[in-house]
Amino acid sequence: METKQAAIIAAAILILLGVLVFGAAFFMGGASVYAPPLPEEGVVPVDVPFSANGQEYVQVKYMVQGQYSDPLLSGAFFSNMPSKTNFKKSPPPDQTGYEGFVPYSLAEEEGQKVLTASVPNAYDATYVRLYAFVNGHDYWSDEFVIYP
Amino acid sequence: MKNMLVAFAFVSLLALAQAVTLDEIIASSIGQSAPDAMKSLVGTNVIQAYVTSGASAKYYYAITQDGKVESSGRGRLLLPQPTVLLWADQTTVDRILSSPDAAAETRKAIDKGEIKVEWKNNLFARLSFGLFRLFPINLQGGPAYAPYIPRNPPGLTIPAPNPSFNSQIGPYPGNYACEFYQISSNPPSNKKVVTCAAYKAGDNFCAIAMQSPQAKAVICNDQQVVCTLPCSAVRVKFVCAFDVNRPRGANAPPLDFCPPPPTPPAGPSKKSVGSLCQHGGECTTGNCVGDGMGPPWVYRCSCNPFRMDYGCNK
Repeated sequence: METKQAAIIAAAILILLGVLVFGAAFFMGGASVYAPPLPEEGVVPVDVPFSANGQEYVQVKYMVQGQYSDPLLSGAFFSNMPSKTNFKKSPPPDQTGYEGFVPYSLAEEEGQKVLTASVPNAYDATYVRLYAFVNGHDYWSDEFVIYP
Repeated sequence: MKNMLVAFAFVSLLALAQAVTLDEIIASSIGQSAPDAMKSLVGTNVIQAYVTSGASAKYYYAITQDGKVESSGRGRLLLPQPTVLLWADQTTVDRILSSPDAAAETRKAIDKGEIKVEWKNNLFARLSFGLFRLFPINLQGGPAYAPYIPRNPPGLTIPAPNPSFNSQIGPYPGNYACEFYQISSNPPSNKKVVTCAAYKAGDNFCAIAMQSPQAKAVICNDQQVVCTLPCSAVRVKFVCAFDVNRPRGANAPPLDFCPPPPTPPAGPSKKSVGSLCQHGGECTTGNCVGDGMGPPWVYRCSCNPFRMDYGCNK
């Protein structure tokens, strides 16, 4: 009888240890990473590749947050040199020094409106900034460099 | 180890993101592939990374296929959905990038929780990584660095603009105009930018292309779209949206059919010497002096600023 009880207790302890090891392994498997919230208004890059992989055009994708009029005024501005403008002041496009502009076309991904623009792959390095005119304000993304 | 590899790949990508010249990119020796023994660990994943700095965040992604980085870039991916999330603070990233031993610094940052890695929707991955943490396995070798492969030459050659080209656009008095070509001449192909038959498609295209809701399509067919924008609606100086087939320049300014700005009305003609005046500004000579034996004097334009003199009027 005592042997049987001891066996049951030992089995219970083994099961408990197993659960503990499994749980520890699972929860140590990765820390929680919380995605930063999206801005209420502005431009959120979705896909700006590092390289155009030799293609004639590189497609950039982004979202525009906030209330905007239809049609939305937006697109990608680019140059073969970085802009020297201070973008903290949200300048209008003509004050940025970018030499080219490509308009967007609309698509949908995961139920969200995504804007795509085909930036020409014509320079040794293309400096691109995404733009949107929302609620009377000029919004710009960071400047991204895309290599051929 | 798996987290270590993923985090290291992430840090390599950040090095690429921060490199600004070709030399720097070569120097940063971007890790493009893992050694064979590690391929199953890095596996096929969509890695989404967040680098925060205060309230702002930068987004990066890498898509790996059998341990090799297939594509990478900046942005908050919607599709494909990430299988791995990474988070780090900008100061941690800067510290790693400036460290002579980035691998060791990355390992330290993970141990301290300064880089967080989360495997999504992958129980096996979570378990296997957890077991690595519980029972560390010293797998030799880190991520291998692929030799630098010269980049492809730029994919698009922009023809030299030909400003003298007579495109026969317009005139559209009182408007700016931009033209777009729906057919590429070299090589011949259809590169349709807008389907003109669709309701308001031409106008919508022009509004977006000319960055103004007041822009309209005045020509829209399978060969060409011509957009106009009233001169009065132009908020800022602009260039026509990029079109590599535009003979007068891919980034050409708009054709200007606006009336010349009005010149200020010419003032009344100045008075000649001897004419009655009230001040010097009325006279061609700039001199208005009292004449006669006054007071009261009669004031006339004079050659001399101090006395009546008709000498320069001969």
